[in-house]
Amino acid sequence: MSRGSRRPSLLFWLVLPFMAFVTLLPYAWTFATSFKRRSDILSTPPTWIKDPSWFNYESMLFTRGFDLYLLNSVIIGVSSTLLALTVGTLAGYAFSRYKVPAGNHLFFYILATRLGPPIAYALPMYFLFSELGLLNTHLGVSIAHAAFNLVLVVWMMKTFFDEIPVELEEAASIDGCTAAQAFWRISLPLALPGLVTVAMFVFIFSWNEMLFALMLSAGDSNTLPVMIPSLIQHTGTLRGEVAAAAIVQTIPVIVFTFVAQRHLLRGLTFGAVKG
Amino acid sequence: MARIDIENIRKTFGGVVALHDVSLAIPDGAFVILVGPSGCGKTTLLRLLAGLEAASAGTIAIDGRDVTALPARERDVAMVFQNYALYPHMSVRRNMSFALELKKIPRAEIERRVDATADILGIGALLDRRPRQLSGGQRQRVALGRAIVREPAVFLFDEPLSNLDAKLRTSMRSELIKLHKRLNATIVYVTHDQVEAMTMGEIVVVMKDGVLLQSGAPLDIYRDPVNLFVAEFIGSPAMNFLKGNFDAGRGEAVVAEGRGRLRLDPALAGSLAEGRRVELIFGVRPEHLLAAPPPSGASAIDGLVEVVEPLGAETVVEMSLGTQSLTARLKGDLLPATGSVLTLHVEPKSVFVFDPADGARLRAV
Ligand SMILES: Nc1ncnc2c1ncn2[C@@H]1O[C@H](COP(=O)(O)OP(=O)(O)OP(=O)(O)O)[C@@H](O)[C@H]1O
Ligand SMILES: [Mg+2]
Repeated sequence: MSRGSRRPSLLFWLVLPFMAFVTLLPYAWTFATSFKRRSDILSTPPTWIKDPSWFNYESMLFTRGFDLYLLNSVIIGVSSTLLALTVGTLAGYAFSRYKVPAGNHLFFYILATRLGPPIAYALPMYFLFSELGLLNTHLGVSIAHAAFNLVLVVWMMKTFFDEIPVELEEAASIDGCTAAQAFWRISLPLALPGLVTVAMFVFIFSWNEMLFALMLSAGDSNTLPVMIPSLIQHTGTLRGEVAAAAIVQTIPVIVFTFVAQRHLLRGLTFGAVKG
Repeated sequence: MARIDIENIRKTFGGVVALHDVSLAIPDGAFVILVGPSGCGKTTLLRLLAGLEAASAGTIAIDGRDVTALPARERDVAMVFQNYALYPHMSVRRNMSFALELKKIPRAEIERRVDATADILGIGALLDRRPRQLSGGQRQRVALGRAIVREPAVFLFDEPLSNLDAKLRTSMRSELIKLHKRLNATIVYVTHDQVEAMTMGEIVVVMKDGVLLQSGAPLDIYRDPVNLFVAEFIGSPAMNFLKGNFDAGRGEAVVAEGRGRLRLDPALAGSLAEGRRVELIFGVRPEHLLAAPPPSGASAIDGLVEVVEPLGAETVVEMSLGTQSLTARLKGDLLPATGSVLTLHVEPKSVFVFDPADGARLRAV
């Protein structure tokens, strides 16, 4: 990781605060709104938080039933991530280490699943899942998200495994490992930084995803992003609750970005396994 | 402890033939040295023995059991890789104990063996480090330790000392020899080092382009090489080769456009005369060139002294004979002047003869 050693230029100092301002202001405003009382939200002139309260969060979570949707988002995010990682890591490993029949074609075919417009898959998936009885279940949405994310996992994990010298597994097999043990005890731990990076991408994708979640689930299995628009009602928009839900929705993204920044960089510049 | 029987092993990578029908019987507990130029198939042979590579044809048996199709983990073989292949995410201690843990050996026993091995190799202070925190030489010793601690039936070493400094290399060499005596294990050891080739092993195997050219005791190969390649490869500085004609009438070779006359062993001269051989290549080892004529013959080679290297105990002289050159190892008290003409002698029994067409050694029949 070599950062440019040049000192940031004047232009940098002019542009950066401007960009940060433009990007962060709406978020800051949403944040402020989420703690405002209903009467203050649309007051003119606009006011900053006068009297912060958790009212919007409580209303959103408990009155509007978003506690369930939040839980759904977590369940679907975690299970689709686990599913995509399990299948994708094994597939990526196979592509990296074994001669897969028609391997190259297959590898690009997998990529093709991500090139089409999601809506083209959503409808057939709807019919398929309806036949299978997977509509309106956590499992259904998890499978859809995992399937859509598999490309990313397979491609990234293959590159991570490619970086790990085969000799390490050979040494392990001489030391007495079966192929599975060599994978589990040598290659997988070495690919862990990569795996964590991929996991974050996959989780965030599922967390933010709306189309599949909307099509394949209803009521009790809905996720947070699907339900936020429901707060815009014919009697008026529940601005405070929308803001609170939006803030809750962004928490994992922010946490992952900050807490895992180091890991993320390590995963992306993975390759220093030699020796 | 195991005998290894390699029979007609062949290995091809796509179109490349890496091993050509190699056969070799390694007795129980032997220390075998594998030498040959880069790309001759040494690593490939080790990998076949380890079970990391499948043979294209032929069989390998360890202790009479055919292991050709057996996976590496069932062969009780340890290998030190040319590039170490230490597990980067494990400490040195875990690198060494990994195989023992897989075998479910009791903790205390593992501790004892790891510590004892680390002591022998002088890496006791490094046990808690990760491989990336080690120097090249330290990694190499850890790689050795990982193999040694297992006390396997067969050790496979792929240039295990190549990254060590001269002093460490000498001490590691004697540690390995001691280890071999103690464990009585069969060792196959690849090296590029002449000293290691001559001193460490009981059997030297010389390979070239995937072909096993000769195997035998180091001194036997040194004294009796089967062809020009082996003669040149074993011994340092390398054997001198001079083109010349055989004069059947006088039983002599005339080399380097008449600058040298070499008297041949009568039996050898006899068979050369019988075969009507004329244009040949004559080989003389640098250490067999003598400053004073031996009582036995009238051989003499005149050369122009080009380079003199006084090493104290001996003096290495490089001479030119027209278009050809000659290296001699003379006694340390001889210091010929550069540019002078020097006449050297050689005993008839020290002259080797080779067929210029295929490099085959020609002997008395
Ligand atoms: N996996 C492979 N695929 C194709 N060719 C290979 C492969 N492994 C080895 N070879 C070829 O087989 C031949 C023997 O290689 P090998 O590694 O055994 O040589 P070596 O004697 O160990 O050389 P060095 O002294 O440089 O280590 C070489 O020509 C090499 O290019
Ligand atoms: Mg090699």
